[in-house]
Parts: sequence; structure tokens; C-alpha cells
Amino acid sequence: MLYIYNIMIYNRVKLLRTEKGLSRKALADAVGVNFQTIGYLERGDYNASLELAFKLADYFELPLDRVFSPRPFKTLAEELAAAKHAAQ
Amino acid sequence: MLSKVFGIMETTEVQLTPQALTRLRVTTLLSFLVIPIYGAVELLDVSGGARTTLIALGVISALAMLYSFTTRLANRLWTPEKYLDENEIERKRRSMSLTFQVLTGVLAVLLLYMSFTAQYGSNAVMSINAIVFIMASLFFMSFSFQIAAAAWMIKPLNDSGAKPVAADKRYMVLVAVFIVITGLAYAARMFS
Repeated sequence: MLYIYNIMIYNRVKLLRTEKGLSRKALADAVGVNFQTIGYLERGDYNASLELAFKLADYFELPLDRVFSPRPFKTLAEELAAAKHAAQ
Repeated sequence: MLSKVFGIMETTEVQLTPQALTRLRVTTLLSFLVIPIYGAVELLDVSGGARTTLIALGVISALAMLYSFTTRLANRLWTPEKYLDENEIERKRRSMSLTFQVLTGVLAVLLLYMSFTAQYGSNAVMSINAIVFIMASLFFMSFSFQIAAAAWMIKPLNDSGAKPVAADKRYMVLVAVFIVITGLAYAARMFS
């Protein structure tokens, strides 16, 4: 989670990176930052700039609000249950 | 060319382990003492065992300063911003602004003290030598303080599961070349 002007911003960077089997260094190189920036972003110790947020969303080929959100993301189990419920 | 040089100085996971950060913090704190110790030995005319002890402490402090000033994290603070990423730029600016605030505070107190003692003709008026040593201390402390501020801002990052990167020989060569050139320049000045 991130704090921007006292608003907590959550992100899914760690989940998405792990899904792709990437190291922090590989993701950092792909979006042009230092690996520690990715580490602090994942841990919620750093506020990403809008530019970096868009770069990350572009890299994962997802809309920005799927990677960053002011509300906590649902867990994978909750999302799957919701999708199953919607399909029925 | 420059981007290659600054690329060599990039921080790796080795510098962000808890042990490396503790080492940097301790050496940076020790590095604060170099000029004050030298000043005390010169200005207070210390002799005998006390002088030896102070000189030994000064040497330890100078070595700590050499280590602290040549770490990659310290070098990133003096790297031009175009070669840094946004997180490093933020850390650099925060540590610089904190250092500026502290230094202006210390200078303000010093100025008040000097004007007060000069105004009332007190016996505590500082000599020119004392003022020069204080200014030199503040100059070096401004670097040490910046490193210390950054070292305390950084939280250890050793949970990525990635293998630590081995010490980069290119970086060591770069630092060694810098030290040799600076040493030669200083020696040339001393003996000219």
C-alpha cells in the first residue's frame, strides 16, 4: 500500500510480478527504475509517480485501476468466487 | 560515457542488507569526528597520551569516512539526477534539504554566539583558527549528515528471494582510481 497525500493506495505489483515469474531486477529494468524502487513499492514504503504507475500498468497490459487502487484489492479466492457467482 | 560510469555505481542488493546498512550508519557516525578531533589536537595543544589517543581515534574516524564516502549509497547522493530513478531522486532531495536545515540552524547559532561575544567583549571570543576549524567541520559534516540521513531513510531490502549480486570489481577499481588520483593531487600540493 502507498500513501499519497494521506490517501492509502494499494497495488498488485508483487502479485503480478510473481505471476510472470519475474525478479524485481527484471521488472525494474523493464520499466526503467532501480530494483529497490520496485521493492519499496511492493512493500508500501514508496509512492510511485503517475509516470511509473502507467509504465507498470502498460507492462502488465492491464488498466491502471487493476494495478493501483485506493481501496484494498480483493483476494484471488474472493475474485474467483465472484466470477463463479457471476457466471451462474 | 557518464551514464556508464554512474551505471557502475548503481546500488545492488548487497548494499541494502541490514548488515550493510548498519555498517554504513556506524561508519558515517564515526566520520563526523575527523575534523573536530583534528581541531581539538591542534587548537587545544593536547600532548602526551591524550594526543596519541586522539590521533588514533582520528585515524579510525578517517578510515570510517573513507569507507562511508565511497559506498554506492553515498555516491548515489552526489550523482546527477538524470542518472537516478524517481525513488533515488526523492531520497537525495530529502537528505539534502534536511542537511540544509540543520546546517543553517548550526550556522545561525554560531553567528549569534560570535556576535554576542564580540558585542560584549567577552573572553570567549573565538580565534580565527577556531572559526576556520568549525567551518571545515561543518563542510565535511554536511556530506556526512547527508549520508547519515539517507542511511536512516533506507529500510533493508533483503526479502526478494533474488541471489545477492557479488561485489562489482569495476566499482572497486573506480573507487581505487579516485582515491589514488586524489591522494596524488594532495601529495603534489603538500610537496610543491
